Amino acid sequence: MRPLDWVVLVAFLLFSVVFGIRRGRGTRDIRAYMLANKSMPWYAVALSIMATQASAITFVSTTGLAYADGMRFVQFYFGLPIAMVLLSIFAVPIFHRLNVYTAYEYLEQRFDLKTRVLTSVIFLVSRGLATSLSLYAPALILSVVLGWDVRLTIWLIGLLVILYTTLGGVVGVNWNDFQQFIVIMGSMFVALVMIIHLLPNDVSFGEALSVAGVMGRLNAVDFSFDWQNRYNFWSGLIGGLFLALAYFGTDQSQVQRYLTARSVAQSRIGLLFNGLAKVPMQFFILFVGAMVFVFYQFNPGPIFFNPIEEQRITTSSLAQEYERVQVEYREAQAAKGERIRNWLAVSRLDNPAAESRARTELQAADQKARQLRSEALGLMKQNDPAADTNDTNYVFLTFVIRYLPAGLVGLIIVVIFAATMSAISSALNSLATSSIVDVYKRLLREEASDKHYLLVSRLTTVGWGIFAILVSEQAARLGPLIEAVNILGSLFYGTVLGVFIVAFLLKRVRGTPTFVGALVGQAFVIWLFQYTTVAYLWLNVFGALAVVGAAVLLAFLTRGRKV
Amino acid sequence: MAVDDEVDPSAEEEQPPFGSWSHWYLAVLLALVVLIVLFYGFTRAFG
Repeated sequence: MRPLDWVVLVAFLLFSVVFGIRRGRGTRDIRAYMLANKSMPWYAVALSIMATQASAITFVSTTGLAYADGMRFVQFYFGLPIAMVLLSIFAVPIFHRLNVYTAYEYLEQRFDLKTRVLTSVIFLVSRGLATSLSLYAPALILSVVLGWDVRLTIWLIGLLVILYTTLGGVVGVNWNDFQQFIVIMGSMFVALVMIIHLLPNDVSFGEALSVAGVMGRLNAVDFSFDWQNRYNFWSGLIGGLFLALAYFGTDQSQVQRYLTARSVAQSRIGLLFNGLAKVPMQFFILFVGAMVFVFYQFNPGPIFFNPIEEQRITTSSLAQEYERVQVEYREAQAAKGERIRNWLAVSRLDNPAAESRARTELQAADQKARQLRSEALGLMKQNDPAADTNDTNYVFLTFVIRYLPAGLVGLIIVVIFAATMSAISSALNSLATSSIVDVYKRLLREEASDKHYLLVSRLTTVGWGIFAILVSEQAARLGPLIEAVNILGSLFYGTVLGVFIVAFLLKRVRGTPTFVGALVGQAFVIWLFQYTTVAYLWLNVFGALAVVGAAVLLAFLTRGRKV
Repeated sequence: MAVDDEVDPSAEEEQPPFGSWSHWYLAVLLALVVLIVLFYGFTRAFG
């Protein structure tokens, strides 16, 4: 980081805190603190929804996924637009009409108190842990790539977010999400332009696409079906639909975004905009990763992108062996670069046979480089079986630090901070809201002044912030972090979604069958996760269906009784 | 703050700025289909 980068970063952080606090001025009661007095326009709702979902992991890990595995992760979002339509039809009018503060509040009227408490506690536990992970992940990545202290980064981001979320309330959070999301997307766009600019002069943009394509990095859609395959069309469309329904329809961190809208119409337009923009946005981020991959085909890149893990092997007894593999890898990469240029040259001629030969040679060179990388990873595992050999989280930032000019590096670090802050601020705001509305006000102190509830809400926001900081300090290393967050969500989301499906669609099923159905569904999901290899996106589907099935069966068996 | 405290009368069915809601829903779903077709074409062309 050079001085200009620091200026950019510090300016952004100061601006965010001041902006959040100023926007939230005038928050004098809990309706303003939690629902912004239902005053938000659709565009603020839409971008706040998108910013809340997109944490730093989204930008750092997704680009790395495209580098390593291509663009098939985009399919994960295919179910999202359908979910936005369904939520606009079923959930939004009900939540608005009933004037609820949390999604779980609705469940008490529809079912009973225990179902409300169960779902809100599931939310508080899962979102509390996920928020800690969202805070820990970027701190870890910045520590590895820039050598920053993990604890310091966690505390810095955590305290800044606590400051403006506590003082600014939901208005400060939503408007900050709005500005942060614009900064994020603008910065990523500038980064993409820069990456393309850094490609060799004799390689056109079209040829860069061809290189990424021939090496399997533009595989956006895969219609083959496989239960174990995490990212194909079917898991994305069906599993992604259920995940998006659960996340946007039952997770208070998202529901609260559109509950702040001026009207049903503004909420709906915000959600539908998210449905329209999310898939192209993810495609764009993955595309950035694919272009980083192309860049490294013409420029020397490391065999492994996590410098801390690499340092461990280079200071071990296997250092010599690792160095040999590194040297061979560099040679193989150089040879591959030549093969790419050869393939591009032949492709310009109208000679299919020569093109096919050149393509085969290129793929063989790529295979050789991949084998050497596998050998290097094998050595790391041999040196330490617990070594983290997944470096997807470090690819993009390593590129940024090494190749982007001063100022732009700071801008990309701003992306990481902005994405983290927008995700965490919404989460803290919603955790505090559910804690107060579903637990404190409902179970512990039903009658108190609005001033009292506002004060307790602010204190609870601070409490959840400190909780997230302390847990993230203790977080153990996880593999690809974005998947870890989604897996954590998928363990609980199916169950909660099942409860809401029963609530919205099966009017005859009452509280107790639904509550027992939820417990059965949750046990089933944990069993699936522990003892089968079903890809995690399907856990949402099976969890929701198990709850609905069990609730309907119990309702049938107990029909005539008042339960 | 119980849910049955009050029902917000302003939250009754509102119309979108233009067209009907079913047009808006259809437009989003159609956009999804177009995107999938485009991505598939992209995969076939380059992948």
